[in-house]
Amino acid sequence: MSGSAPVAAPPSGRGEVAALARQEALDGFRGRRALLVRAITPLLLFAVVLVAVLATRGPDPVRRDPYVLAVQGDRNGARATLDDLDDGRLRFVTTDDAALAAARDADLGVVLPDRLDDRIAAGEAPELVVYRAATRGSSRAALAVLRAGLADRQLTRLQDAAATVDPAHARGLFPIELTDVQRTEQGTRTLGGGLVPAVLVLQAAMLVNGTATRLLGRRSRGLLQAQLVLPLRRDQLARAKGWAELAVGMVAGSPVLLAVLAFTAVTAAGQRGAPAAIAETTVVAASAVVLGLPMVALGLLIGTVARTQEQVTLATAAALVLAAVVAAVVALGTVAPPAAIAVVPVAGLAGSLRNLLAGEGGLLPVLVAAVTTLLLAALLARLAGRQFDAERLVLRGA
Amino acid sequence: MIEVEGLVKILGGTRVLDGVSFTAPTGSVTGLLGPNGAGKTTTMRVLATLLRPDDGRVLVDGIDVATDPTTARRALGLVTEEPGLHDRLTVREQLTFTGRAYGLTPDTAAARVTAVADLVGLDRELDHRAGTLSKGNRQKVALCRALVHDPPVLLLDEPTSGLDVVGSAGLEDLLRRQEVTGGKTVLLSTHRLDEAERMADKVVGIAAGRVVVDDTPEGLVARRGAASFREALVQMLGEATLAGQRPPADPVERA
Repeated sequence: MSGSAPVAAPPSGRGEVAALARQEALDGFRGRRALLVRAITPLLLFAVVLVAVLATRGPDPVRRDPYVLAVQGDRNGARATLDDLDDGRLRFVTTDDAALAAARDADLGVVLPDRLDDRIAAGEAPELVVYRAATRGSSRAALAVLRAGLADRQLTRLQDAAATVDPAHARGLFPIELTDVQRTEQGTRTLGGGLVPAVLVLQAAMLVNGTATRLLGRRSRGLLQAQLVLPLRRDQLARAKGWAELAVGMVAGSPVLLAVLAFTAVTAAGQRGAPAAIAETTVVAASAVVLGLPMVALGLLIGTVARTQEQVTLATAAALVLAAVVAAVVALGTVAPPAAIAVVPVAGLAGSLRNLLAGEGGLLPVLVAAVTTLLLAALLARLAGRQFDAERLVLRGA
Repeated sequence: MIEVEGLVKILGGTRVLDGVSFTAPTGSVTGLLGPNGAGKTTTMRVLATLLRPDDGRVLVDGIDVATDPTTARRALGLVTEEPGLHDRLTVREQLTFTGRAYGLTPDTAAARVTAVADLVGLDRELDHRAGTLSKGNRQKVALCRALVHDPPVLLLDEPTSGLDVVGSAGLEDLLRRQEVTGGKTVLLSTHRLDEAERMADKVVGIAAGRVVVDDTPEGLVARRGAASFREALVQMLGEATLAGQRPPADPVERA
């Protein structure tokens, strides 16, 4: 112990940051009970969110807008029938793919047979193919309205049959072949397109609390003070802690993340082949990491600014509520988000990823959204780095 | 060497340090003494780059802590009352990670960890998790962490506080060993006067944010005509504190 000169090498930065990040990550991985809690908590949270989302999707009895029925096939040949059905509660729009429309934003998709009006007049009972989304309240309600309209038509026909004594008119009308679009390829794709980004956003939001709570704990136990005297700039210290928290958070969230990746891979492989499965799974995995970065940075910021665990809890709960709103509105909302949402950090990535997975958008918006999300992460990390220089971090009770 | 000149630190509107000046020579132990709230820990934190000076100049091994804190940190090791360890990591892991964070190569870090652990008698606990160690041994780990990069300056902020008599004596013995602190500039902040008398080559007494004693223990006793070091220091610090938290016009008794 000469004490004449330190044996430490001149600063290089990256190696020192990596060493501290590994130390923090290893400490996190060894906290098995904490990891278990962090793994289970999202599962409970997702169950609550799912119930809440489903509850908000029930039939809306005071809905003012008419239900939208996307009609495919010979619409001119069905004009009289559609006019009869149109009592203000149903609106018919033309589509090339009734199933696709029902899977996206129409309440129902209907495939009309050729010359429907003529065939009805001739006493036939032509079949209607109807696509609905079983979990969407508006779709179920639209089907009920359609069935009621058809029943009215049938009653009229029966009355006509009685008046004309023409039994041909009394035959069964409008048998419906009902298909749940959510069980079709497009339906699965649309459902997955919403679920996957929603789960990723919520899972990423869990990182905020984990990061902030661990940082506050280190402050109170004097561990942060020991780290503040390491020969690192404050932004390097924030970076080291951020990478470690991201790694720990990814491991804690691995049950959910692996389930999401498996779902993406299986549905894509079954419908669009292995190359699509690999590509989509890769995009989803990368998105999970990108979404995690601003959340970790936010957690660091909260962990340095907050003075008590109560403040951490309040701030992270607010972040979680925002994430839930993004998940419910952008990822799981009934209307697909516009491509321009890509410029919004986090929400843009959720929306663009939804569109990509649902087959309604390309990779470019996802990349744009990833960049904006990373920029937000960099900004938050910079702010957190500055807070690491704050004197209150070492002043007891400050 | 540590050089502090006109150090001022204001916290929450209170002038906690009000022009503190002293030096801690290389190769010696300087005791920083004072009653609770005198400003000892604040001084140590400024030296450790944890707090920024509001005025004055602070050099650690010739490096200005205000203008180049990152370089200054390479030159110092800090031990505080709270060891601040990763409880789930083994002693070897945390010392190795700390060495790597100071820029040591893996081989150098491993060698240094073994050396400092041998030095303080922690060689058998190297592969134990820190959370399983006694408080005394945890403080030894903190000392090892401060020594692993062999800094020229060692800051000890109440290192024996909270330890029992045996633990305190063990750590004190360690700090007095030439192999541990020899050749380094050691600044020991403590409220234990007996500990300071045994360990310190010179003492700096702070009261109400100002230096009121800067002398050797023997010199202080002789100058005050007191029966003991304790009596001399208590007189000095007590007078300064009782004088309305204001030191005398010529406050510093220097050797």
